[in-house]
Amino acid sequence: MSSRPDNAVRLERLGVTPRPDRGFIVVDMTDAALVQRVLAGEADAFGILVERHHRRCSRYARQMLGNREDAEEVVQDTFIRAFRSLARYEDRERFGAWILRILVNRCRTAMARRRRRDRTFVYRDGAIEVASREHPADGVAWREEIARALALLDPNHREAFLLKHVEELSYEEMSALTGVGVSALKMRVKRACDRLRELLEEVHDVR
Amino acid sequence: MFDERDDLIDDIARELRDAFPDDAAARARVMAAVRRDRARATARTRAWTRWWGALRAPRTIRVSPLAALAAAAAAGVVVAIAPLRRDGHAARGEARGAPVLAGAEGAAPGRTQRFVAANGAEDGARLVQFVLVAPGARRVALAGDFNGWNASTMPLAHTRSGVWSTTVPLAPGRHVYAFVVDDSTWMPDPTAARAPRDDFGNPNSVIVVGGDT
Amino acid sequence: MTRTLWFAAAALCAFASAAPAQSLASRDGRLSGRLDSATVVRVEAIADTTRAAGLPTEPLIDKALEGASKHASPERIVDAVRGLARRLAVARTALGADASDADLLAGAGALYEGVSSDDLTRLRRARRAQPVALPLVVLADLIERGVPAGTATRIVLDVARSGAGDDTFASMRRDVELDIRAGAPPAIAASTRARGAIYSRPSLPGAAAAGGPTSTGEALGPTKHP
Repeated sequence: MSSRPDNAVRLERLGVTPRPDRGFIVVDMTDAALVQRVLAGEADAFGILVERHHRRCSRYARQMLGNREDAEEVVQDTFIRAFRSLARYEDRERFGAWILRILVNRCRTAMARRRRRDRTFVYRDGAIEVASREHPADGVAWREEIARALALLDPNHREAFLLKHVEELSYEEMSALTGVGVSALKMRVKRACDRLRELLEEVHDVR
Repeated sequence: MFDERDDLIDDIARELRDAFPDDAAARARVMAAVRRDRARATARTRAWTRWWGALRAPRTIRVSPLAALAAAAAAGVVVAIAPLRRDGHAARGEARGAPVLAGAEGAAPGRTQRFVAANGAEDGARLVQFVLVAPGARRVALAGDFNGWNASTMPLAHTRSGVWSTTVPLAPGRHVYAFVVDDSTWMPDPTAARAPRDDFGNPNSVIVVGGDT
Repeated sequence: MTRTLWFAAAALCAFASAAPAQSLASRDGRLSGRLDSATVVRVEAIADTTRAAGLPTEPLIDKALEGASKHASPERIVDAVRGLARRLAVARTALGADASDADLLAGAGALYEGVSSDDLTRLRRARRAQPVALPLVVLADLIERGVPAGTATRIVLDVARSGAGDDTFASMRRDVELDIRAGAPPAIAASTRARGAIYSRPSLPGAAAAGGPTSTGEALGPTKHP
């Protein structure tokens, strides 16, 4: 009960003004400004950063790892690490790119850990045929086909494909983020696309 | 042909970009994890606290109506989700509840019988008794959507001359279940409604627990 | 106002309690522990799409767990989950946006038995504001016990239109079952008991006493503790 005024104060500090009609309004702060607020002691401002970047992070982790549980663990770990090392974040880099870099590394670590733990991740190629006879027009089936095809890609190719086509980074950004050269990345994306076409073209055509 | 190929990749990318739902609950978990980590770190070192305090400084903040709308919408999602999560929590809480043994008086051979206690469990859950008369059985367990189909969590107690029984709290709603006899044989509750044809080759039973008082 | 502010604080700063969240995570954990990772990926992809459509996903997870417990093959599990997802979507369209999870599941079950989506909508209308879960469970049960789908649907619609409550449906199902066991042809047993259900309304509290299988709290009056 006594914490309610504290919350009001905290929100006010964040620039959140309560409004009787719509509840509240919120701040317009850049990510960099929010980072400054966190560093200044307003840990709650980190909640807004999480709010802004969580969806993209979980999307990438989920598509990279193929498994909700691992993805959630990696995303939590990423934000914890980001929070811990926020002092090292520099304004000249976008916060989104910075956190994505941490995430990509955490995903790689998780993949390596999982390869040791579980070698059954890769699908049997033949399974594709079984699923494609099931109502390919159905959105559920299409989504499932994509998830399965992604899981069949080489992890390096999957990583490059997701960063390029889903996260829509430029090759230069990807190179800065992964430490891999642009031409190698282009090759990985090409391989990924070729393999996805091979796996999905037939299903796609019947849709 | 080349266009068609690009279409395919575009289609895949669009699906991957758009079809992924936002998850407010997961976001809340992230923030909770960050706070736990921070609390641990704070406890470990006072240097962290000193650093934290040293950087504390008031600033001026600008407010934009557009960002306000976006954030209001985002927050609305969380508020709307709250009651749903409460329900989900309730259902699982009940399923974990320890089975309460009840007498099987009145259970006729080959029959099951169940009753609902008036105030048996929290959050609108009802205590439901499951009884199976199976004199030849060495073990009987209950598996259903209320315990993740994990028979080991809900064994029936052998009360007398082949009458097996357990009472479990069930959340209001429709539940599908079956008995597992001697760890290997799945059988439906002989007197309950049959669930629609089973996907896995064993018939199930279905029970609807009323939601009102 | 203070309350609103509280909510805003909770929402914005993502301070919501981690407890419900934890149970969700542990549930997914159970999936990982009981199915191979390839199957988990496929089940979760279906669940994602279903969630995005605003439909309940717990039943899909339960279906996968059921398959795991019954040692079904991965293909069969995925087919079952996919089929259920599709039927839930059809049930939602037929029963309306307000349908409860129990209604949707029962609707999906009836669809599995060959009941048409139009008939689901008809039942929805006949029941007005009442839940349709129990009548649909009874409908699926009648078909399972050998009553032709068309006959069973007509019977359940007739009883619903008579204004019968869940208790009447529960006792009718029970009686039909006993009659069939005693040797009556399923369709005859169902038609006869339906007539009885319609004409004997309002039903006596003891009507469902014989261990009504679908124990709505109200349906099991005599065995309910006072």
